[in-house]
Amino acid sequence: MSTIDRTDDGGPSGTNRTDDRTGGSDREPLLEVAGLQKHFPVNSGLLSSIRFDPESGPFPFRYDQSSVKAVDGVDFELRPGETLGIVGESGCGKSTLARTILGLEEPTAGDITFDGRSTDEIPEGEFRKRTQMVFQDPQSSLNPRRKVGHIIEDPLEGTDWPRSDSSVGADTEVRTEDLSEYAVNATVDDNADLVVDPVDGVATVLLTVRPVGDPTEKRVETADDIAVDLPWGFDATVTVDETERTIDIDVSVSASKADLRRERALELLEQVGLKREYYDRHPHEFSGGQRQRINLARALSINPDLVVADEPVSGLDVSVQAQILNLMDDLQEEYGLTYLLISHDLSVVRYVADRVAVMYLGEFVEMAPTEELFTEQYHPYARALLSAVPNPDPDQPGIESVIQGNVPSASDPPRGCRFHTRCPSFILPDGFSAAGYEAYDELLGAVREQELEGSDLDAVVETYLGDIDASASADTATDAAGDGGTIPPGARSDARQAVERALEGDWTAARERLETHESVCQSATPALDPAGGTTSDVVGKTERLTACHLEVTDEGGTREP
Amino acid sequence: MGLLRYAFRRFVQIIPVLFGIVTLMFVMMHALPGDPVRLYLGTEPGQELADDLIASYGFDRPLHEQYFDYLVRLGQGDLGQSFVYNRPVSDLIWERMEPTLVVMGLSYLVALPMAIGLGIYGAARHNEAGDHASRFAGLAGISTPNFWLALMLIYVVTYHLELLPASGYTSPFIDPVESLTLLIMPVITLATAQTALLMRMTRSSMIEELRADYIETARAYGIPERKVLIRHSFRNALLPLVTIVGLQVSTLLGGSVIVEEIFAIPGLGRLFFDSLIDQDYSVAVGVTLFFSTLFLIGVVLTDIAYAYIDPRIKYD
Amino acid sequence: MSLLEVEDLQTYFFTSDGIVRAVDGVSFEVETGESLGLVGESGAGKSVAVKSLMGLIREPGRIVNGSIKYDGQELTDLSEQELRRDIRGNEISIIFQDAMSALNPVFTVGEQIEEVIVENTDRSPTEARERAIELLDDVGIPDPAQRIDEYPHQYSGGMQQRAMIAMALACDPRLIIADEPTTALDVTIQAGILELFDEIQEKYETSMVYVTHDLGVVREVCDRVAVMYLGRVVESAPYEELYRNPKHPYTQSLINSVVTPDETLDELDPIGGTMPSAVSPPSGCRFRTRCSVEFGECSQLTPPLYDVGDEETHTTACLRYDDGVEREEPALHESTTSEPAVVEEQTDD
Repeated sequence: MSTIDRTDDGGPSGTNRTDDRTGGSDREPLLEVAGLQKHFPVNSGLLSSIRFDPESGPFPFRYDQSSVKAVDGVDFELRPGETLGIVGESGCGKSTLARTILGLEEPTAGDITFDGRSTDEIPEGEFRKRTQMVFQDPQSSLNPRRKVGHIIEDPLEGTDWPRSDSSVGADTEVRTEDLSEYAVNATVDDNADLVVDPVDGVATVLLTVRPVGDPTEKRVETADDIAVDLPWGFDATVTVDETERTIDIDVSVSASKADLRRERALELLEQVGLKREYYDRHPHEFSGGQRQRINLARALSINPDLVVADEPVSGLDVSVQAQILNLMDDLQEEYGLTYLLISHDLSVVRYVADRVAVMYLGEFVEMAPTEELFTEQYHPYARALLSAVPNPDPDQPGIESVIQGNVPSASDPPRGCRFHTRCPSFILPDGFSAAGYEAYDELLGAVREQELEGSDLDAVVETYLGDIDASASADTATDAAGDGGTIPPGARSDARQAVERALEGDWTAARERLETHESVCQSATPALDPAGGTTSDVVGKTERLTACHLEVTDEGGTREP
Repeated sequence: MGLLRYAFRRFVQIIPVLFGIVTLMFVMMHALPGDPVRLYLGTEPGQELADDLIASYGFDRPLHEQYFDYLVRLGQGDLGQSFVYNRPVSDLIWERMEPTLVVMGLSYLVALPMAIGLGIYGAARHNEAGDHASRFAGLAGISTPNFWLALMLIYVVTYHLELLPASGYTSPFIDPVESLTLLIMPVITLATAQTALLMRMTRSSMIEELRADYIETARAYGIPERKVLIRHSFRNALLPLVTIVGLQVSTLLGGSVIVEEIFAIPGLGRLFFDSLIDQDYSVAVGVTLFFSTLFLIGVVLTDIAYAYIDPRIKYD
Repeated sequence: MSLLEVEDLQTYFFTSDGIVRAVDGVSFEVETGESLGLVGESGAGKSVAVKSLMGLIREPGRIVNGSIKYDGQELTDLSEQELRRDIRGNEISIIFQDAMSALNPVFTVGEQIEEVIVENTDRSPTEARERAIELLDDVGIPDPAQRIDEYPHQYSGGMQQRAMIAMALACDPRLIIADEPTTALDVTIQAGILELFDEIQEKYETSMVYVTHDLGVVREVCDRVAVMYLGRVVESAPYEELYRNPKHPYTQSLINSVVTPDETLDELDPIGGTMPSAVSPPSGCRFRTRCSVEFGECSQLTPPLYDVGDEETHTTACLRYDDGVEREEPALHESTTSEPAVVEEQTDD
């Protein structure tokens, strides 16, 4: 599958791989992630976790085990030859996800299956040979003290490349010139596959045998009269038997592993659009874009199956970004790579990815084939993300809507749907207006914290729900003219009863009563399901998944359930 | 509240360390070659005295019992008996504490303002004449051995100039003037190396700070240069300094041994030194424990100061 | 008379590796209440240019030539003290790219804003604090009375930038310089900040010079735009005019190479090569080494800014527009668009 020209100068072979890497939907997934979680403890160590808490038991201390839930339940599949883009803003956990998948972090929970086997079972060496990562910052991911060529060779050295595969045979193909009178036999060592890519299980070395000088003048008598043209990396010993008129050629691999690695590094430099002479240079002599090419060369050196690229172009100028993305695309075709591309930049992802997953606060909120997602988004966050991208074309719409608020803390994520605190399409329960629900929610929050302001029933109800007008009819959904908005009368009476319970000390009952009117966005965490509910969008291997309580209508668009 | 909790936690963390030191002392004492009786009583003690000692110190008891005993006694503040002075070690330490702490304290008092002043000056006049001069002085200060300096001072000031007496100590709480004349040279000796080191640290820390982005912001908003230097940069530059200042407690403790010997100051350093020569082990161990505690407290105070200065340190 | 008139500004850095001509003949104007976008790739000299305006260039750099007239007053004539007292903070404010490192970590947000107010105006500390709370509220920070006493690291990235904006507004400046203020922020946070800039311009009528490499941002916030390449302004026009009718080859390539959200970009056409070194720039027109159309004169003459628009608001520095009309003359020789990459490191913007 490589473009190495084998006839002229040979060149080292890649590791054995099947020819067909890009798969159709009948291929098994290369990577499967199920229920993956990665939590980081907030406190470092025993002593730091101790909190002074006068209300807790005999010893006024408690142990604070809160953790940052960087990745909190992610599922997806990645098929060979595919590119999955994971998009999200800072703090959503995409980098942590990438690192956990590659084994740089230990998962807190969940399974990762690579090529059919659980990553727990795959020996690390093998896993590292088949997966590689391209990091974000081209500056710091390259060791400034080392030569670029050596950096590219690192994975090769790490996996002791090349290694001869004993199941691969070796053979020679001999061409002779002006030696019709002689029988030429050539043998080659079994490890010829170190240098030459095997085809159909055999590594074939092409050689040309000819006499030295003018064939008419001299007879071939000794080995010195014979010249053998060999590919790079080989040596030959020639024995001539004059009487029998035979020429025996014994071919062996002369290139050392260091030589082979060097040659491969040089090839890789060319493949990523750099020059072979750059081998001896140091990273600081290159621009950001060039450094990223070096990173790619390094990642590709051992022919991985899966490449995880974490913000591969984000530090680069826009025009350079395009060049690098082009290169990645070409390399994918050439090498049959599978990409997991992490980025915060939607435009980048659009250019390279087959499917896109949008991530928010540790979870996927929408996943779809790229063009479909860019045409229409079902999840409000995905929609907000896309509409927040500025567009230089004055004839196209610019930034349309701005979502308010900040990303909540990952150590204490919101209940139910994590995006609900900022969602412009928040589903209000019947009879509530936005302001009304806000007040109601505040009361609910206070009850959860077990901290109500005030001790008199009426006073408390007034404090929290005072500005709200009770709507007269049960099915009203319009805002009354009052200050704060509306809540349905059922909710109001339930609230009153709840407060009563709370003031008596029965917080649990109070909470439960209030929760009966809770919005579904808070009470239930939406699962990442095929959009459309009953209308299944499943088409072959593509699916549109979204984690939202809103329903997808048949005409497209979303509405409340 | 966060800071208090942090302080509390740091102090609590001293306990295991102290425990380790105490145990180490015990092990060392009992691992030393030689008869403990003889160590305590000198060479050829009388049998009766020896028996007494063995009984009272329990040297014939198994090691772990001795250890437990040792801990219990430590807890009660009993550091043993000095056989040279025939007095409790704790009393000795209590008496000699003052001169050492006074000398150390004065040393800090002299060194800190000078070092900081010169350091800021050097950073502000980075690479100009004044900077080079102060750097040279700093280098000289660090390179000068303190015992040499002490002896030179005595030689010049006492011997030739006959200005100041070379030995002795008077408490500043009793007679400040006389105390001062006796303390000038010892303090200069200790403070020189201290100043030099602190000054270099201050200077390089400040130079680093002045490159920060927020310094550019301050200038961009019209803040006068002097304020930028002192209020904006120095506060941040303080952080590595505080660490060094805290660690210098140990340097000073070591230096005090030499200085007290040379200037005949009856402090802990001298006590320690003499106890080693006299093989008065209980004193040696007692003083070591005291110094260790002092040092640990210094470290903890440093950490707390650090957290106070830098609000980014999460002490919750 | 414009609020800000910059003419032929030249700022050089005298380093041991040579003279870096970071800004080498930059001219532009900003009217009262107008916002000008300063666009270019990294290495173009945009940051150096705007910092020069406020006299923030320090050794080994300095302004070697040029005029900066603010409200009629020549800023290059002012002493450091005069600049500090009269201009910085009160007349012209600057917002930096990375708000986290632009704010001092050991002081609260409130203390920093109040200090700016106290140093530059007559207000008392109490008044300054009140004003600071007001400002934080204006820029959209929730619970300003509480958060004013927090430290920068306790703010999120977007909020830190809002705090910086509050600081910039503190003394009612007439000109705000924003040096890539949203480059380091997430796209949704950026949207919020851009919205804020819009509000500020409407409410206070402040003029702005907005430095960025992102044309999409310019579209949102700026009235006019000047495109910079390797220390020079190569084109200047009202934004829409520039986007629809770019005249300079660099501007054209820039627009074609930008990734926009509404197209599937197989049409992406990256500009070949990288920006040459500012120590030894190409002679004559600096863009000629990457230009698809190059005349012989391009290496001899430095093109001045020619008028190309109808109302004298569109100018471009390309020899094809000598008399305001685009020349159709065939190029004397084609130069390729893919230069071998230049290996030297670029200086900071």
